[in-house]
Amino acid sequence: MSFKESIQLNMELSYFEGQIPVNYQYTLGVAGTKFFEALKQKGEFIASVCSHCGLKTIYPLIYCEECFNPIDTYLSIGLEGELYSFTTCYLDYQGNRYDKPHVLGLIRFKGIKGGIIHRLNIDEKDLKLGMKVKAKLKPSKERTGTIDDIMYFEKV
Amino acid sequence: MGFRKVAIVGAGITKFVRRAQETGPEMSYLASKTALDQAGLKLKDVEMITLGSAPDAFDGVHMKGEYLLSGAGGNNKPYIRNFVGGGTGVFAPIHGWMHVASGACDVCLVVCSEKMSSCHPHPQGAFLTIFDHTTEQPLKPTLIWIFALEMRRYMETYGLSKADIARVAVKNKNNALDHPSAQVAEAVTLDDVLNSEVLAEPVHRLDISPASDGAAAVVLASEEVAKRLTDKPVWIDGVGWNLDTAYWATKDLYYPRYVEKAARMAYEMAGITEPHKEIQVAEPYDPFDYKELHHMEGLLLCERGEAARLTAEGFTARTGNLPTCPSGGALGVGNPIAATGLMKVIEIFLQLREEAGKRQIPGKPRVGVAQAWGDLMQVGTVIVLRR
Ligand SMILES: [Zn+2]
Repeated sequence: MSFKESIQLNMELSYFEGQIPVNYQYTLGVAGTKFFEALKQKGEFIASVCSHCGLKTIYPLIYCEECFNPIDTYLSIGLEGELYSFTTCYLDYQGNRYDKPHVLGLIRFKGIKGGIIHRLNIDEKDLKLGMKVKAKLKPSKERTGTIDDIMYFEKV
Repeated sequence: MGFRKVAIVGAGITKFVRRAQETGPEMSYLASKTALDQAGLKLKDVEMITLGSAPDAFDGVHMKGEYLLSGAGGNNKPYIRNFVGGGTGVFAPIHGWMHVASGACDVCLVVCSEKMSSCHPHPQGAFLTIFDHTTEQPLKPTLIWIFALEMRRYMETYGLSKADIARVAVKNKNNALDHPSAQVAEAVTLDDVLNSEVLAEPVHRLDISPASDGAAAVVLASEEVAKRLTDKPVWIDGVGWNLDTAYWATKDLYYPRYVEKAARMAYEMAGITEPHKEIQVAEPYDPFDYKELHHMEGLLLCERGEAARLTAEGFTARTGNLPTCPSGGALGVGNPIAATGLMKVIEIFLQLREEAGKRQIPGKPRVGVAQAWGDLMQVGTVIVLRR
């Protein structure tokens, strides 16, 4: 059964304006702090390693998603990975057209569960699934320990 | 009634703190892992998982249940989140009970987690939009306002003084000194509470619980599995829940009828006809001190208007005839909403197993009740446990 729209223009409705007046301070967490400290201080990615079943995970966790044991081992895995998928985006989240399209990729690392989603600075015609890519970081002095310390991934 | 018997066989709680370094999934993991270890089980033994958490707006993560799933051990399992506002922490084990009592599974992990510290400048900003957007939000209400209205009506109805109410805060904050998870345990005196900062008369600073981060978890098992795992199963004997309208202004503020209805449902299932005689330990929900009294009455643990006198006479102290909030409650242990309710269920579980350590009440209690409450003075959730 369909219903008939009785009001065509939204502004004809009586309404109150409102908002939820909060902002957020998200906690990096125990494993997240280790990841972003390593990125900032050493310019490298780290994965967590389960000493019980061997599962390696990025982003790192304090627990193993497979065997549920606690994790306290973390492994440097450098900055190089493989392009698992990619897309070229033309609109932002409010529907505005970008001046220049954004190219995003999901990068995975050999033998490790999970991956990193980030910008790609690679010509669209050169993009290929499985290609080797490497993170380009900001200079160490400019890094703040956030995901934007990675400028983009580029061809190796 | 055709339900299978369900026992609690393990429990875990993180510390309750103002701001935890752990993320929500990390806190969920710590509580879940402790509960599983205590039950002597691995995650692979868990067939289903239910998770309770308060509004998404606290953590600032929409689809919070899905976000917490991995830490609660829910990857690739039948997993579902439940939510009834502040009543969630006692509803979550009821939800888990449904899974096991119905025969859908033999082992269910129940996890509750809350990270209120993400919300700035204060979670009150998120609470604002639980009020009616047209008639109440323009007045910029806080939760403390409406509880002040409820507290005054309760006090006036039964001729109670501020001291009558404040004794609950003194008892609970002192009880919490013995709880390893406690955030705001303090050896406060009656004068401390009465002289603390006024927030909205008659509510003072020490009348209320804090905003907290924390998580709690329990493992539920069917009769056969429970008897294999432990010689001290604690049975979920009765469960009840009830919701009244969100138009809170229509209610009798001096009495939580919805809590009574939830309690009667749980007592009937548990075969309890005289709760004030049969129940030996209680954890009524105490986000404000007067709420413990309110809820004792709603839980039919005493006559209406009698709870304050019983508190003053020491009846509800750990050494009294009916200890209430021996844990220290939300007022003393802290109030990470959903985790608080489950902390109360865990306290009854530990008391009945005589594993509550320094908090252990005397007399080998065999029957206890835990209760939570929330939304807009609207929901009661009740669970009866028996050793
Ligand atoms: Zn593992």
